[in-house]
Amino acid sequence: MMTGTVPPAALRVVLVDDEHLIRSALATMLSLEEDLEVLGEAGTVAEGARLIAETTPDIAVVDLQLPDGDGLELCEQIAEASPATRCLILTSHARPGYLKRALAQGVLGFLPKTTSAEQLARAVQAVAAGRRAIDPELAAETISSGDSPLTPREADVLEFAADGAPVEQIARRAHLAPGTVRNYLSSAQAKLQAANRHEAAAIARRQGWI
Amino acid sequence: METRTARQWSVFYAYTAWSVVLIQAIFPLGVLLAFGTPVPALLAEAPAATAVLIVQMVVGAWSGHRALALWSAAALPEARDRWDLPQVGSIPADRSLLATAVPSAVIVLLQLLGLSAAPVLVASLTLLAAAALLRWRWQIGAAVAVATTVIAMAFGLSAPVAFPTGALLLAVVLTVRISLWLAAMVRELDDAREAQAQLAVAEERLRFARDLHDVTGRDLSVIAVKSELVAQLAERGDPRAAEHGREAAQIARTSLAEIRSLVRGYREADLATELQGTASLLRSAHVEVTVHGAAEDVPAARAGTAAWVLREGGTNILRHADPSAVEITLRADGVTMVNDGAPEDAEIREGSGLAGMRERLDGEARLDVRREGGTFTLDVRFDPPGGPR
Repeated sequence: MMTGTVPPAALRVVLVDDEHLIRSALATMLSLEEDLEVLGEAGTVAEGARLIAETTPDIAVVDLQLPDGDGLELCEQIAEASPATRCLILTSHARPGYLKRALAQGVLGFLPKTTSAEQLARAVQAVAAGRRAIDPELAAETISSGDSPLTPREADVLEFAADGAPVEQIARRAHLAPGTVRNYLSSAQAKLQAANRHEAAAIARRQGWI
Repeated sequence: METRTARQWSVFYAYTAWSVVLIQAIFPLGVLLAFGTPVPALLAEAPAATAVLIVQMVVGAWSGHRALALWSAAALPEARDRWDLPQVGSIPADRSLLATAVPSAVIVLLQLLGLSAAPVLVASLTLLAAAALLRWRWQIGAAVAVATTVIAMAFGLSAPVAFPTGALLLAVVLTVRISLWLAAMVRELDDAREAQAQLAVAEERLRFARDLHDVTGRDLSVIAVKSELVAQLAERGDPRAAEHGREAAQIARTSLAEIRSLVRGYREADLATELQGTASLLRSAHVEVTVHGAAEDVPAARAGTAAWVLREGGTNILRHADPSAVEITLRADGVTMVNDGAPEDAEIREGSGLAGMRERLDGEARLDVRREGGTFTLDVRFDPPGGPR
């Protein structure tokens, strides 16, 4: 928790990331900026939602992958609990589908974790001002991947299948019944015109859909 | 076997299993035909024994089905035949075979009591023989079929009855075994295909692990050395610490980008895909996208350039404008992207993006940008073929 002599107009920021090392480094870097104030940090969707409802910050910097859900779910919750708070997604895992989902949801910021401290600070200001801050490489990659025919669930199941795991194991990983997994796999297979799920996963990976 | 998804094998298995069931069920009728006695006449002559025989036909068919299910659940034998083809192997006797034997025992008893007829007894015994013989190698089946015919004749069965009965038994046993042999081959092909897919996955994983190690191993050691240096310099208050710290961060970023391209693989997206991708990305940001023309309108030689323009243009629109509508036009001589909601500051920032685009397109196409009010037009015209290269 950072409290100090900050100008009253400073943007109030909350960080949500389960990787403690990265989170504390980001918090330190952002708090070095004069016009930013880091109000607090959280490691899960539940914790983050609670913290943001309490503090109603200007900006929530949210990791895409959190232990109890994904960052976009948290952004949806934030939009309800604290409408003034704007979300910025910071991720190390950038599947094209997520950028589209984030945009559809009205999230303004979507950047990789490799963004430098300076760029991140600028992005936080841009998002606070209601402008978009989207990583150009990620946007270009999303464009190159075309329009994925897979539903998000099919993409997830296919990703779990990509290492050649049997259906039972995929079902455990995805928290689904084996029969449901088979249905998702066969519909993904049909959409990608693949002979089996291994081929389907390979095609989807090549296209950047998983 | 529980996770097999191969459809071909399951269809072929069903076909084989139902053939066996049908053969087992109809076979005794063939034997009765050899005697020249129709079933209604037998029912009148020995009702109890004939009824037991009909029950046995059903049980025998079920036993055949059970035998096949047992066979498909067990692994194929390792041994190969002289043509290096898979062997069917033997199927262990189970309770279904015992169940087929019970009606035969009842009919023998009825025969001793004089309540049965010779055709019923012979049909019942051959049915039992077939149910048992299909479980072993075809040589055993053939030998036993021939031997029983000879023994039956020695016990007074007339040749015109014994020969067709023996031949029928032989035919049934051989047909079933050949069907199983064929099924074994299909099964092996199917297993091989599954194994091949698994192997491809394993190979890919291995290649990936090697490449990943190549990329990360090198960069991580540099980062370790650099960070150590940063710590040493910082302790001494040496200002070079900042410079080396930034270098370490840059190496880590480059390394991550390399890993990302490694995971994605190198893909060459085509124009149609890029067009779809641009439209779908912009639509997801609640932008109304209108496309004039199609990917095929652009000459094949220009498709790569057009794809690149779409990707860059789409990315720029998303990053620098707040559009409600975007119009994309693909023609034989160029690509145009028009969007509203361009930022208000009047002069077009020729900064990073546009200058870079112009440079990249040099020698291939001419780039024009126009802005009227909030409308921004990116107009790319391909140079005529044979133009400046």
